[in-house]
Amino acid sequence: MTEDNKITLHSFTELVARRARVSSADANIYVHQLAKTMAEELEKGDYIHLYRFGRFHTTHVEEQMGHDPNSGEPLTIPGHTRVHFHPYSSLRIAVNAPFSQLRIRELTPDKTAWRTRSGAWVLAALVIVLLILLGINWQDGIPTQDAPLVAHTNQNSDIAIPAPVAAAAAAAPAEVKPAPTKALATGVIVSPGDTLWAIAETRWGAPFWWPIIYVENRAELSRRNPDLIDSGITLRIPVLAGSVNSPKDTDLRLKSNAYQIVADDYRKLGNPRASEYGTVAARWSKE
Amino acid sequence: MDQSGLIEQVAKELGISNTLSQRLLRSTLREIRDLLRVGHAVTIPHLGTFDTATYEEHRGFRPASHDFAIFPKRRVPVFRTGTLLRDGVHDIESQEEGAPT
Repeated sequence: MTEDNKITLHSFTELVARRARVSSADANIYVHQLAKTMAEELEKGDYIHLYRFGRFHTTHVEEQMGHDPNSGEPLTIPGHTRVHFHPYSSLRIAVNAPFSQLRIRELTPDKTAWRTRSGAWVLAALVIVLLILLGINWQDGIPTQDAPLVAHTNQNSDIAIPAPVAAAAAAAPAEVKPAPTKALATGVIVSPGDTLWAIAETRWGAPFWWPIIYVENRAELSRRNPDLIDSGITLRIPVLAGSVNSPKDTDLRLKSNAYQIVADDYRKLGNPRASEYGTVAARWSKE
Repeated sequence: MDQSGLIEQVAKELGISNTLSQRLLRSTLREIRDLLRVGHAVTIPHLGTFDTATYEEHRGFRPASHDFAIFPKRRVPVFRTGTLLRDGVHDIESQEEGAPT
């Protein structure tokens, strides 16, 4: 306690009187009587509990050895009882308000502290959910016998590949990007990334009819491979007798023949899709 | 003795109502708290002095982590017993064991 932070009893009782809305003389009498009662209570050996403030109690100190601070001679301090004040946390927090933002710093950083933080667990759960979602999408992209993958080979900018037909109907349209195709009156210039499937879809709106385009242009396609067409060449688009939505018999015959030719070409290349195309073509020719 | 017992006893000795006694006690305690908060020291006659002590940043043992840690600067309330009360309780019996000081 320094002199400058001391407050006189008179000004303290003035403050108490203003807070309790009583006269300052009454507050003065009350503070004196309160101190006297508390002192009497403590001298009986009792404790005083003050709500949200603190607790006064007495403790017994055993006889101990000490020394005279002036002469340095050892002397025995006899056992005695002293008053203790235990401040409660509300008072502690109020007094510590200027430094309340400071925290205890560990000398050795705790490497397992993240386990108690919920943010780390939330982040981990989000990552797991993301991985599950990615895994589902990746499952869709796994090439199978029924739905061969074409999107990967489309990366080659020089070669355009038609998408598979028949059973691949569900998967293929999502993977083939509708490339901007320069349309001529009767032909289409193949641009990189184009497929026969995509051309048939853009020209007719029916991707399943792509074998007709292939058969029409089979003489020019030296590879004899429906999955590989060179970009830059012009494909002739055959004129159908009817339309794809209401085809005539000649169109259907053309289609089944085209499927048969595609099946033969696939069989020569050793492509397993040949059997599917063959069965489809055989079924249509019977009808 | 609890706070209610103290209120009643002071009210009985002064001849005032319990509600007034309670109001005065609460305003006394709150005034002490508010003065300590701004760093003042309050001396109550016959009882002692309420003051604040500021501890600088120091190293200490932290039982929660079983390790030493740097404790930040902090200010705590302290009560210094007045001489009259200290002499009054010096020779009485007390069950509680205190640390030698």
